[in-house]
Amino acid sequence: MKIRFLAQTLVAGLIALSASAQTVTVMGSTALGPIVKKAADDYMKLHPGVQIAVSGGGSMTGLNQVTSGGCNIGISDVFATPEQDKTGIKNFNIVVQPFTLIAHPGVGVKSLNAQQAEQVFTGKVTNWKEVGGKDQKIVRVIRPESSGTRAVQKKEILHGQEFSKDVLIQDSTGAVVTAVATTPGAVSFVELEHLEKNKARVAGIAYNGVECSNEGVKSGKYPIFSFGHAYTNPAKLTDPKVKQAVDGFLAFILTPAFQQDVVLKAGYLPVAYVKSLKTQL
Amino acid sequence: MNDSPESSLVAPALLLELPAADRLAPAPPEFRQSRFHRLADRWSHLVFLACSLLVVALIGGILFFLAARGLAAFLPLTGNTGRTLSFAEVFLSTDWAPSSDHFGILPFLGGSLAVTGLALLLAAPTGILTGVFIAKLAPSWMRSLMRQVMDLLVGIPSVVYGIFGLTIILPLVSHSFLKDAPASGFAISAMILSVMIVPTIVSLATDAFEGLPLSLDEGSQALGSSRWQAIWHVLIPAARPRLLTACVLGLGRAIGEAMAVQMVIGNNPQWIALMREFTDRAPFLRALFTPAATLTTELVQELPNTPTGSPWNNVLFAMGLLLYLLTMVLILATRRFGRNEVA
Amino acid sequence: MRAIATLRSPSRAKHVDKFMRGVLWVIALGFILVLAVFVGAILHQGWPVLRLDFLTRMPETLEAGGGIKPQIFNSIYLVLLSLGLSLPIGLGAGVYMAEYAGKGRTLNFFRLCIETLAATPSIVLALFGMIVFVQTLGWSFSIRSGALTLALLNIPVITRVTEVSLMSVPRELKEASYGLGATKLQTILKVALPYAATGILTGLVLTAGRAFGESAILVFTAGTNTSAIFPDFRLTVPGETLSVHLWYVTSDGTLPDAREIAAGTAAVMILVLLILNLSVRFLDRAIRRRTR
Repeated sequence: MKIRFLAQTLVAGLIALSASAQTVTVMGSTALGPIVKKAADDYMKLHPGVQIAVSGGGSMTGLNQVTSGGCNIGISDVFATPEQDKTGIKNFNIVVQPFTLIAHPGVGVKSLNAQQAEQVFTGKVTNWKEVGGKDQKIVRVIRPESSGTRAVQKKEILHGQEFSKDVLIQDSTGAVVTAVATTPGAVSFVELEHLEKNKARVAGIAYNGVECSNEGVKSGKYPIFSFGHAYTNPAKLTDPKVKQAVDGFLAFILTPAFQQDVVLKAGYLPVAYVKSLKTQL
Repeated sequence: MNDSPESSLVAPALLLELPAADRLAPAPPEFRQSRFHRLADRWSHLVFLACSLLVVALIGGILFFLAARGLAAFLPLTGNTGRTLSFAEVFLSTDWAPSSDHFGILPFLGGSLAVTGLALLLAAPTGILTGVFIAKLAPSWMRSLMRQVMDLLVGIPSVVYGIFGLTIILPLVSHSFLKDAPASGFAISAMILSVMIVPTIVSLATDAFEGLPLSLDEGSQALGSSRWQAIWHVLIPAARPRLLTACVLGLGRAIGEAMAVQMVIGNNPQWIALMREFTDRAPFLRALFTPAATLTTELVQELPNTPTGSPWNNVLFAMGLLLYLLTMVLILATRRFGRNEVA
Repeated sequence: MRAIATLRSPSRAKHVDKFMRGVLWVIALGFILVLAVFVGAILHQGWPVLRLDFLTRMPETLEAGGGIKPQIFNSIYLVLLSLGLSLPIGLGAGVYMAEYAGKGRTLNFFRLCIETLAATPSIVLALFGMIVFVQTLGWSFSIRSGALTLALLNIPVITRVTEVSLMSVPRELKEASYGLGATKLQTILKVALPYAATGILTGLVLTAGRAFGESAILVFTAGTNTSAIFPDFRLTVPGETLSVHLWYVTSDGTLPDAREIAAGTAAVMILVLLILNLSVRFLDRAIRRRTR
């Protein structure tokens, strides 16, 4: 009797395994995940026939999967690699993410110019007094190698040079903020929303005299930001129903209503704020 | 293994010896059965055999797929997007900076060995002594209590161990030793790991001591030695091969643990460079709390964020392959110990 | 024997003996204390969060106040699916090893394989599942990828438990069955397996507990998101479980109440573990009553 039950469960399981429902699958960036998940929930309410499954896995997982046809939309904090671009995948910039320098409140520096910021992180400058602050050793807190934030920082702040070896690596933005708040002399680079949430614990550092703000990015005065991307692979979108749902969903994310209501609330900026599109990062 | 299934389940698949089997001879032919039952009897063993062969196939399959992806780093395959690496620059270099084209995995191998070594240093003596205690000294109520404690310790999910380290041990250490600087690193990972592997060692050590012939015990007591002398000079040496096995299997469990360690170790692949910078004035304590990384933590951390076919991604799979091969070596090592014991 | 040499100073030996007994007690009590502090701290942290509300709400993606309803469902669903997949295979392999494999090289080889699979780190199984199910078969992060990979974790344990339980079936019982003219298959199915059932069931409960707590495998195969529908029985949707959720909210940390959610989830997991362990003890007692 028990064995028959087991056999039935197994057969039922195998049948279910082979029959897969029609859904739009989204994979990729864990940072963008929440906002895309929210968009999916809203979109499914408006279009009850459509199913959108959002799973994380990391930016490159999203790109790898969309390239190979493993998912319909790949979301990513970074641009696709040249090899991935060759497969004909299509990029949609869905949000703008501003970044800011932060430091322990006691370092005595309010602003760094581009050269100073670069030297702080490459290790040419090791003490805050060399850039106009207190006599205090600089503690660089950065994200791990695979992080999108680190890639932005390397390109925008270090202009492609290597980070100093003497760094404290923290594996999430939350841990970075905590480390900066508790370590005298610490400096780091985070998404603007994390500075705003932690104004009491860490100090923002202006870049070239301009403080990071939504307005600053919008007006073009503040230069450090990146895009959140959604990639699709037209060659693999053969089912017209799925294609329609994918197009509809991406259009929904880019509607002014969603961009204003949700994107702003989640700490990102609407794509429309940034008129001149950067080509990389 | 004369005791209850309870103890054998702590590390069910790890126990190496089973009682001499009561295996069955085929049924005598003079009893006549229906055709169906005779046919079923003749062919059914193939079904059971297929299940066993599936396990063998899985072992081979895992090896095949990991090798296919891991060794791709060293071969000029069409699926690769970057350059082909040499074995030396991967396995003999401490420089891990994939975005600058350096792929040395020694920091992770070193990290894994350091963390598991420290964990074993804590878990092996305490685990073996607890095994002796359960098998030879504890009153029966304590014995069953300890069994339950070990069952619970082995059952606690690794993420829960991780969150305990993250929310309780890390702040405590940071507050009491490090002037509130963020804590992480080897010492804390090893502490948590040692609690995670101790049940394996205790369970196997208990079995080892219970499996010793009583005459050993009685003999040394008849000679007038105290209980502890008997344990130290007679029982522990006699059980040594199986105690070694216990430690090796504990080591295997520790080296493969990913999530709990990832949550507390700090995930810094540059830990060797970092330590080099402060060895001149470094107190040992600070080295123990340096954020580091291991083979498993690096996989959890970076695999999702690397493009398929890139040297970076391939090297991560090679690290997975290395872990798998290490497991196999450890299992084969326990076989060696077993053979020595028989000899 | 070296022990004889130490007999020269019996009083010192006595003191050492007493001292070392004390040390052993302290170590053993130390482990009990560790467990108590551990469970106590996790429950203490999680208790304020553990309201019915927390268990029955959908998770939030951006704001505070989300629950863990779909994660609870996914945990149970994945454990049951993976057990359903691994039980027939584990039982079959266990029966083969206990009853058919004989005593020679074949058995040794199969044992070696089972031990190797059992000792394989879950992160390695995760890589395998990711390559085969997620990438090669293109199943993406889904319940089916997760369940199949999780089954790999269960198979060696179930095989082992089946083998051990079958070995403990008294020989007389099997001989009696033969005496009545039963075939070997009939003896196994109708006499040996029913006798071993409670032992196997105990093993199953513990396997379920292990699968329930597994996270590394599922992060790479079932994903870190849940379906928006509840309950969603489809096998193609991502299926974040409680343990993955616990890891994900802590390490990603974008939710404002990540700490509370992690604490609550950990407490739920500890409670489930305690319940599973109690039921194992109950089963175990049932076994002993029967064997007496």
